Amino acid sequence: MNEEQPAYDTYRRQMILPGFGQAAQDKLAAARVLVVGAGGLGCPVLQYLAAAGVGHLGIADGDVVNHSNLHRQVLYSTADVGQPKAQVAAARLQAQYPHLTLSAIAETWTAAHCVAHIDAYDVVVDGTDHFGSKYMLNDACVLFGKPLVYGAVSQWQGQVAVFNASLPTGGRSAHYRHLFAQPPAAGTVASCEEAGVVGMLPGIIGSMQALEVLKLLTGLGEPLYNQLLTYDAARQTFYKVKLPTDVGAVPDMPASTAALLQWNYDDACAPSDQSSLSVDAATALEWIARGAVLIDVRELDELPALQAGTVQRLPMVLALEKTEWEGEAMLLFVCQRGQRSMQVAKRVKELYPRRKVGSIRGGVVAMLAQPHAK
Amino acid sequence: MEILVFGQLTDVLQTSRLSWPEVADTDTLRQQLLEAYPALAQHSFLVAVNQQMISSNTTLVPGAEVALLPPFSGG
Repeated sequence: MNEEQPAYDTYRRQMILPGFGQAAQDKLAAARVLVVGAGGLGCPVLQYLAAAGVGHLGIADGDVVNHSNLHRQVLYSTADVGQPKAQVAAARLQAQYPHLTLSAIAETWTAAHCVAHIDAYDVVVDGTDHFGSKYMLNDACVLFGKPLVYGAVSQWQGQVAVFNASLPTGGRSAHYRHLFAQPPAAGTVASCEEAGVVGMLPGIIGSMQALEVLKLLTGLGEPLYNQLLTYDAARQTFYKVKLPTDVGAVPDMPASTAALLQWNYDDACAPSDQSSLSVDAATALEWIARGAVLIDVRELDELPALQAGTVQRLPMVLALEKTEWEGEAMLLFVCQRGQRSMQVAKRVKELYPRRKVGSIRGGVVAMLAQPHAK
Repeated sequence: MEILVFGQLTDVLQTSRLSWPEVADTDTLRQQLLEAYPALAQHSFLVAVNQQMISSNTTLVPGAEVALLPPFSGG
């Protein structure tokens, strides 16, 4: 926090826009925006909102910077690898914009964080990279009555929408569960880690999210209410779909903060037919103590590294090709979040139906949250 | 009619755009697509007709444009 206020001169080019003026600029200066996920989407959202003069930014991200982030997460440099993203992002933005107030939350985002933080912000931005987090954030914003600027990317395409915003005509805009009532089954939608993403795409989608935030805060323009915008970077095309405006209640979502805290978002993507392979982090430590072989199927440079017992590293692509798994020891697979490891566990179980095989639910993120894992 | 295919559904249908014989409604279309592309059953997606998301069976007028949009998880 710095007492120094920037001169309006900094914002002249946007303030001279018809209808913008000092009034809109003052609204930005008074605004508090929470950005959950400081990755491919979060970086441009944070950079453009800071540059536009938003007064307070919350930055939540529990990950550290990886080499594989740098092609699209342009707030970070090679020297930052291994450092917490939330803190690096906050330090970089603070240096660039001394007047900006920042709150860095360098922890894995949970329902408890939703309850503790969301109510203190005017707008929430979805920069997460995981279905469980996207549904949790959506449900929390509905409970707390906050607008959620949604964004998501995959390979060459991205989506943007403004969920649960107060409409000028009364009521609220549609939210994520009106589009997709429940998370997809695990393994049916590949993440960026698995499917790849072109680096400029989250830059474009994140910039559009920042633009939607600016419109919400100033009242200018027409936010993407009740619409899903899809952008195809390969063809440079936009496709807008109108969402039903008579949006009713969605039955299967938490109806109170108590229910939100109890809701199982980790398993939200895991259908029951895979539960026999899914092992929670605490049970995983017991397996390891009983001699299970722990195999990390993330890419070799992915962080944080695991030090629980002996860890072998074998990236998913190679693990899926491997047809012989020597010995009889239990095989326990782990990745960042538990999706890639589940794919490998299923493949190995097909090869060895009688062998004890598991995939750690919630991945390294869940393991490091265990008191004895480090 | 034209069918626009988004995201990783293009891997299932092997294209991002295809022409399809006219059918009466979206339930019939869904059934035909599932028969032609059984792997589609494992995917969740929303269906839009002429850029309007539908939530129940909808009559398809000749020349309708149907879009199949899956959720994306990346950030």
